Amino acid sequence: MSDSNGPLLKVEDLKVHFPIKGGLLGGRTTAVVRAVDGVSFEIRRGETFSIVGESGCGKSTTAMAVLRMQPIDGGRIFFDGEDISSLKPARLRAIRRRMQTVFQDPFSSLDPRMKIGDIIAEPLVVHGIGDARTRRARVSDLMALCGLLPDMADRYPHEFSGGQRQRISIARALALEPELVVCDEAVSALDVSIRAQILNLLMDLQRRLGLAYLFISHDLTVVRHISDRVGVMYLGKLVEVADAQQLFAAPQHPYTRALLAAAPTLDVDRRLGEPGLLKGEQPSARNPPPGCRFNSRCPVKVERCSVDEPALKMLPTGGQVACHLAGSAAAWSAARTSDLPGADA
Amino acid sequence: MSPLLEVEDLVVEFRTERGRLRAVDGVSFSVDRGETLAIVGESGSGKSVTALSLLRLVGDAGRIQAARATFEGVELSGLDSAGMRALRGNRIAMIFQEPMSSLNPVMTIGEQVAEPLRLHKGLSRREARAAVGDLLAKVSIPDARERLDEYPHQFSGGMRQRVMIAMAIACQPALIIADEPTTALDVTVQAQILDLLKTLLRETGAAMILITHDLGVVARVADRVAVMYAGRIVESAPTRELLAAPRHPYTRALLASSVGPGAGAKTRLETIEGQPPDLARLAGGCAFAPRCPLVQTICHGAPPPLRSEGVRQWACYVDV
Repeated sequence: MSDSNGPLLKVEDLKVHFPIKGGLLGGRTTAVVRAVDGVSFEIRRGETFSIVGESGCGKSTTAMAVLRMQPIDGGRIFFDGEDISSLKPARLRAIRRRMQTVFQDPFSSLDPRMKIGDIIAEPLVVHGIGDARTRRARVSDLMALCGLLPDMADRYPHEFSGGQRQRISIARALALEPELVVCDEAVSALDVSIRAQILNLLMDLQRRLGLAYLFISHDLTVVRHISDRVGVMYLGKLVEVADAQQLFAAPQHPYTRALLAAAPTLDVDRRLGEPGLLKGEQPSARNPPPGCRFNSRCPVKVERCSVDEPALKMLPTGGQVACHLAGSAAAWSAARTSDLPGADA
Repeated sequence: MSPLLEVEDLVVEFRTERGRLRAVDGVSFSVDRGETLAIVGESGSGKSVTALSLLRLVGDAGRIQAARATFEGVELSGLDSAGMRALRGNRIAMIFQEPMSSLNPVMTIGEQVAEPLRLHKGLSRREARAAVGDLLAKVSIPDARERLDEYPHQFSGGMRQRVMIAMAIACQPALIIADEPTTALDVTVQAQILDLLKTLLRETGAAMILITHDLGVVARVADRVAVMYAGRIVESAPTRELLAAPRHPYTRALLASSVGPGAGAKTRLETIEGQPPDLARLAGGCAFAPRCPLVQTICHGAPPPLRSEGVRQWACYVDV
């Protein structure tokens, strides 16, 4: 079943739907939010795959579904070749050892009443690994690995700053020697100077331990920095998947272009009334527009876009994009003269 | 002409369980009419307290003192609470980070935006309602006049921030204090709101103090920047000069660790080693010294005074 040449994680047509309850006593399902609606991607061993998108696009729900912390409504998830989408709890427990998580808020994800040595050792205790002495030694190693002084093990979370708490969360995530770490907005709550430290730590750990990351973020600059490959998500769908270099150098989907155009830069000359700012906001996933979900905000839409939903298709460059106009030279050059985001870049 | 706002040697202290804590330690700055000054810093640098203390919005545990704090020629410390209330939301307006928690959930949008107009301009209910329709249209809320009777929860995050901006400009203030106004918004919406703010400032001639941690936001809207660290301004300069050639080692490090568009993929970022300072346990000398790559013996003595060169100022002993 295990195939060391195959992808570590493979997600096929993943769907997560949330029912909206209404009616008398709220017992009736009146609508369905398709938070994740047919998402497919792969993560290879030792690589960082990022999912980037705005709030409500379904990126975190996708991560939770991959971890099997969120029931799924369709599709399949393979971890190291094994279909884990319908595993029994006992077997799932064994798989979970190999996928761990780092969350956004290090203030709410650490138990304030536990010493940090015990927090880091907890996964070992839960999985019955080692005895008190070997666990203590392992905690020291993990703390050193994550840039914490091992003699801090007897302190409590409130004694640490945000950056140090995130180091504690990372040490805990690594206790079981996982192969995949899901980082859900793991550096979003941190100050700039501390964020850089944690990003460096994540990249160091990846090199030393061969970790794969599923990195969930709304922040393009961070994603650009840490990723090997990137998927851009909009209203429950991946609209573009490509190598990080390629995605940032030559974005293919109009939404990717708009995201890049809107991202703050340190360039003072690119400041005002620039072309490419999207109008409006992401519509509710409860009621997505027909056809391409981006068509209500797309600066280059054509008639077909509000009827047919484009599928992700392979580009000659190796990337994938879901846009009717992708690869159509005429459409793009027409768009280039209009206010297409980043067209003049 | 004298500046719109002039602040000299502002000190704000808080009483805490761990003793007196100096959040703002001798800050001086001025804002000209129509100018946007960004105050930049990380959490705990004192950037919000600096701006909010001017309006006495820092709570009872805070003690505010300044050699001088004049707005439109009036000394702010001389105002009684009625005088301060007459200023707030009128000549000086505020925009906060989280529009959901700054809007009243049980009041309609129309009533809320009308409030400053009724309070400060004495408009009747009907006059205010008409004015609010115009204001909401001005901040590009679609179908503005049909939405006056809706409640905040019926608006999206970006639309709520537009409502906050409409309230802020209602009385044509001379100064807007915007505290992380786009931090809670998605990146495409953030860009829209920044552009809206900039356009409105140009149209109304209002000045703005923009409090932010994000140098990208600064690059987009600010004319001038003051960088704060541990309660002090460590550098101030026009935006272009500061971003092009920062003088203070902290500003340089902050710029280097901001992941810019030029940063290559999967390369190590420059970082500022160590942790932000604990304000309750500051040693003498430069607060940045323990993390500074250029630190020298003199840095541990007294805090470095501000040096000036033309329009630039920075507080550092070391020539960089």
